[in-house]
Amino acid sequence: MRILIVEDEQKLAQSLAQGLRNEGHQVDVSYTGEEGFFLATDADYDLILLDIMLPQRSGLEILEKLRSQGNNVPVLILSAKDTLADRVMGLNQGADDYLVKPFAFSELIARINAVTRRGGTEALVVLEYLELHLDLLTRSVTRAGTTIDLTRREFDLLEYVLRHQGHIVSRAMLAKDVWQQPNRATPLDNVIDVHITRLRQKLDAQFAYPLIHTIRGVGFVLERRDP
Amino acid sequence: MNYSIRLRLTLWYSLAMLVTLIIFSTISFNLVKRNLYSQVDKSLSASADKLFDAVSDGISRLAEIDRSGSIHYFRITQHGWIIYQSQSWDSLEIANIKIEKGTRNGTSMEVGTFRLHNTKKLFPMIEGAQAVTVSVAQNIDQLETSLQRLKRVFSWGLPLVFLTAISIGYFLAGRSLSPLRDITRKAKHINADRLDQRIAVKQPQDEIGDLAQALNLGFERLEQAFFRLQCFTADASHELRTPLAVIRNVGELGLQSKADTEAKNETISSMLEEVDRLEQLVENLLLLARADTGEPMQGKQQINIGELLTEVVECLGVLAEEKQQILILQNTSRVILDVHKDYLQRALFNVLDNAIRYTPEKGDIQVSLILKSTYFDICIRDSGPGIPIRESENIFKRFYRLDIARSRETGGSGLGLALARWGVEINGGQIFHQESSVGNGCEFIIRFEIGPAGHKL
Repeated sequence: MRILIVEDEQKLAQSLAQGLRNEGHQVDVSYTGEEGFFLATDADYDLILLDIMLPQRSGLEILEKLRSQGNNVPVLILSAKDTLADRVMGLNQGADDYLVKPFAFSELIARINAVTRRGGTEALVVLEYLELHLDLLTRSVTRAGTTIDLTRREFDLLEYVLRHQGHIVSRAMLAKDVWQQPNRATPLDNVIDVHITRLRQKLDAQFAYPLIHTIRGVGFVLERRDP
Repeated sequence: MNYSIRLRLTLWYSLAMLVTLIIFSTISFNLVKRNLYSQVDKSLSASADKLFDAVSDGISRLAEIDRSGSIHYFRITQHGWIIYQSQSWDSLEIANIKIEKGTRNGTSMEVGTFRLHNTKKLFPMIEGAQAVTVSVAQNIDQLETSLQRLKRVFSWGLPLVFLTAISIGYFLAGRSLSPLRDITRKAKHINADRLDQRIAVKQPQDEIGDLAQALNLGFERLEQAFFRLQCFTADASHELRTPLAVIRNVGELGLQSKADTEAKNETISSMLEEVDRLEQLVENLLLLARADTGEPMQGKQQINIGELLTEVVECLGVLAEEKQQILILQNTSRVILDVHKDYLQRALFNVLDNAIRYTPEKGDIQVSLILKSTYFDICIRDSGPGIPIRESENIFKRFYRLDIARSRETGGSGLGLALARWGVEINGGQIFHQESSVGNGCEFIIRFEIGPAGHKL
């Protein structure tokens, strides 16, 4: 994908660009609103990551101008402002999503995927990864042919990490998407950790290699890692 | 125009005084004048009566009266013919005036400096009843003079009294306002550095004393708020500093050592964990800051408290399971409450999380919903070490910790109960800690009033 990052904090912009390039995207970076707007109108992007507080021209202004020109490129707002009013304003201006700083890179990836896939999601019935098999209809899980009994929460958790297979999911993402909690509270982190531990117990203990890994300080990932 | 209250008070009072004085003197002057005239008229009418009596006695009697000087100016006429005329009458300017005309029977009129009274009466004469007119006059020169004098007294006295009123008023206003000036001076003197000072209340009963007390109360609150803010800022900085120190030191160490990738990854992970802690702390601080500004909260919704409790207990239940604790939820009756669900839920999370955290392994925790006629309680009781009752209020303070070492170890931020209190209070409830009714442990009560005016059952 061709992605434009408009962000005046250079360190952040650079690290985001690097991360996205590592994911295989083609990334342009602009540090000012003026240049960002110029690039956005000039070139054809698949996605724009837009900061709100920018020098010369605010992110909201750019967004409004783009939308009024009939440009429907998906826009993901990155902002340190996190009140409901800020979010509503961003989304009303035509943003596709709103991500509050600081955010985990893994969450950005997930949101990017959600935004760019929007409208064209095929309804999956079965999720698979190597020998792991999850059936959404019967809500059953097997690994290498062995049925694994999971509680409802464990099943939802596994479904979520399976959908993001190979990508890290943060606790904030799990809290929001699996536990449906808008605010991330400390107790919930502990709850998530307990569930992950239990899931890992059931999923990995008797098998050849572990599938769920904890990335300290970041989150969890479902993938096969060579020892 | 912006005059001082003192000046305005004086002017208004003086103006009121002036108007009163003018009305008073006008009325009294007129009363005196009317009184004097009516006296003159009465005496004239009496003289007329006397003269009528004398007429029947004959001219000689009239001459006698004239001579005696008891009545100076009089004339008796019949059909315009003069029967008798006193000696002084000629000196009257009105002597030649057709006195029958221009004046009604039995009334008086003013003619020059004289007051003239005409009376016409039927009089039994020899030739039958004849109309005789008696005219009596009296010099009212003196009366006019004394009225003029009275007028003069009023017109000189009035400004004098007015001036006196102004100065006394100004003095009195100044005197009664002087405590106000003292208060102003003192209040100006009290600022952020001197918030501990108070205004001296001399007379607590009067209005000024009231004002001073109200101001003192305001200063008291300000001082407390200021103190809290200072503590909060200091605590917050401290709390932020700790993870920052970890990040810095771990980072520096990672950079120095010629460690392998795995060790470097370990360093980065460690730093990220601290960043995570910082993030949550900042988020909580922001939430509390917003709570302080009273930013209007949207999104109240009707929720079933029993259901919410079930959700919360189910969610945190795994934490209790891990410690082999027995977590019981008693009574999940349907109680509908109009609340901000997120904040109330967070409050419940924090309180229950504390209960689980401080209850030893295999201990028990009880969550119950107790319905009363006018309120309901959510009671969360644990079997931990408990909280001394004297700390019941302190534990809701931000960053307040009963035992610093212990809560560090258990990972608390010191904001949990402060956030819980806010989450409950913003929903119109109250939260407090009380001594456990059974065993040690502590008992937190979250209470919501219900009833016809409030929430419905």
